[in-house]
Amino acid sequence: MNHLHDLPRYCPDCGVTLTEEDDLAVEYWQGEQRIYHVWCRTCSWAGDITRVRRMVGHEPAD
Amino acid sequence: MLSQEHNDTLTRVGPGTPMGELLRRYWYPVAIAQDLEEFPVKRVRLLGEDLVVWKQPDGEYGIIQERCPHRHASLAYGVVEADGLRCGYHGWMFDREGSCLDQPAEPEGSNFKVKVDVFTGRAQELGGLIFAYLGPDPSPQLPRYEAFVMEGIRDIGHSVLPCSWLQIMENAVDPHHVEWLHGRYFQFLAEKQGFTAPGAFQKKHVSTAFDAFDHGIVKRRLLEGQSEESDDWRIGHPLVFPYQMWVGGNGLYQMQIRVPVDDETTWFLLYTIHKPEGVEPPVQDGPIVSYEFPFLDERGHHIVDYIEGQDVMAWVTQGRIADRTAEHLGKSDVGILMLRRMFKENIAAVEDGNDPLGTVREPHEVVELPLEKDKFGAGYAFATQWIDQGSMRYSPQKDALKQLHLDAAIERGEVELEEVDS
Repeated sequence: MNHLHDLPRYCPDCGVTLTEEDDLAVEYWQGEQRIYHVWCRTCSWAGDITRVRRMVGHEPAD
Repeated sequence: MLSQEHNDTLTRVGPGTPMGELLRRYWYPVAIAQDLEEFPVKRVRLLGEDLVVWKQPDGEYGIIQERCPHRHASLAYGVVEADGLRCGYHGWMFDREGSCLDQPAEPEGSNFKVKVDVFTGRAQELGGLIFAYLGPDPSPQLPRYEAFVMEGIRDIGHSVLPCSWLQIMENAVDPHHVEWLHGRYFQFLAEKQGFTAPGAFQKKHVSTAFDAFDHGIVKRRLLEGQSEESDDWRIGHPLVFPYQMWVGGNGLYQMQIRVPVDDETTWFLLYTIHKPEGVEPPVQDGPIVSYEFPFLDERGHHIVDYIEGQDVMAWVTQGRIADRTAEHLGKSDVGILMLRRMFKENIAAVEDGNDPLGTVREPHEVVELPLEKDKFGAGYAFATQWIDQGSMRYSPQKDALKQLHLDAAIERGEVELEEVDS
């Protein structure tokens, strides 16, 4: 898998182009889900961005 | 996973690099003070720069570029004078501010010396270490962290490691490694080699948490059998941004210091203070004991039957600079994400002309940091296991340190004493 092909390119808050030089995007995994932890230098937004392949609803307890 | 560009940004520490510019806003140990008592000039390397530190007769310290600007001979072979350091080759002399004071072979009346630029930083002694600052003026205060000013018996183990300092700092926000590297792996070795591994490190992690504060990141862990009132969870201990970690418990206090010598080399120091409860604070008698601890055996294999030897194995075997384009971080690695973000935030702060995290500008007596006291709920056993099965097993004062903790445990009437001795 090319782990860079869907590297977030824009800040979800201010919309600025995210660059290798100034901003940060680190990939990590939760189960089978790939997540990018992103920090935007321009507006200081920090958070996780992930591709959703299947919407999962509430899972009732047994 | 990081892109190669991000990895380069986070690991390159030389002059003019983004990380190098951030790291130059802090003070670093470059020598042990006792070394300069024995000989007053020492070659050192910090942040990719070759330098010379010296002690003047008035007790002040200086730090200067290694190469004499005249013919580039090493000033590590210089002569200490009352006002500065004189090159051993032709006698050019420089003061602590970088001014050239003398060029004895030049014609009388020549003002050539005012044309000569030489780089100098700032150097100060604190707690038996010589700290250096290479950044722009005005220099911040050298933070008087509790470790360097508190009472107790000091013990400094150190070694130069062939890897980036960032690998070691990422370990400081990775609580889970304790349970595995110092727990299960230690136990595995013990079974194979016939010794007893310390039980305190084998407890399972139930939860971990990380909180940013004024000097870095407080790391908390909740172990199996502990309540949220335990010291490990309620207080935790801090990564001291950008290159230290304050840890301890049960009468042991330790600043773990990871000096970025250059991109691929780290001077790792374990600066430990022994001050067990139950006895009068012991007084340091004579020079602070310091020693180099080994991490490779005669075959070049890592020595892994002690705690820090295991850590060093994990750091060094990642490579001189870990290839983070090929890593696979999981949810248990969120402390590492937080640290990388903190570095990027502070690189930006410096580029914007601001002081980075942890900068101390005001004169002060002590900077206190959070630290759990009852480590892993292990009591007296924690202290003796740390001495016997950590790098302090190489300390020339190991037996005296163990006796100090034993005497204190007897005074406290700890029930664990019999179990440990049996």
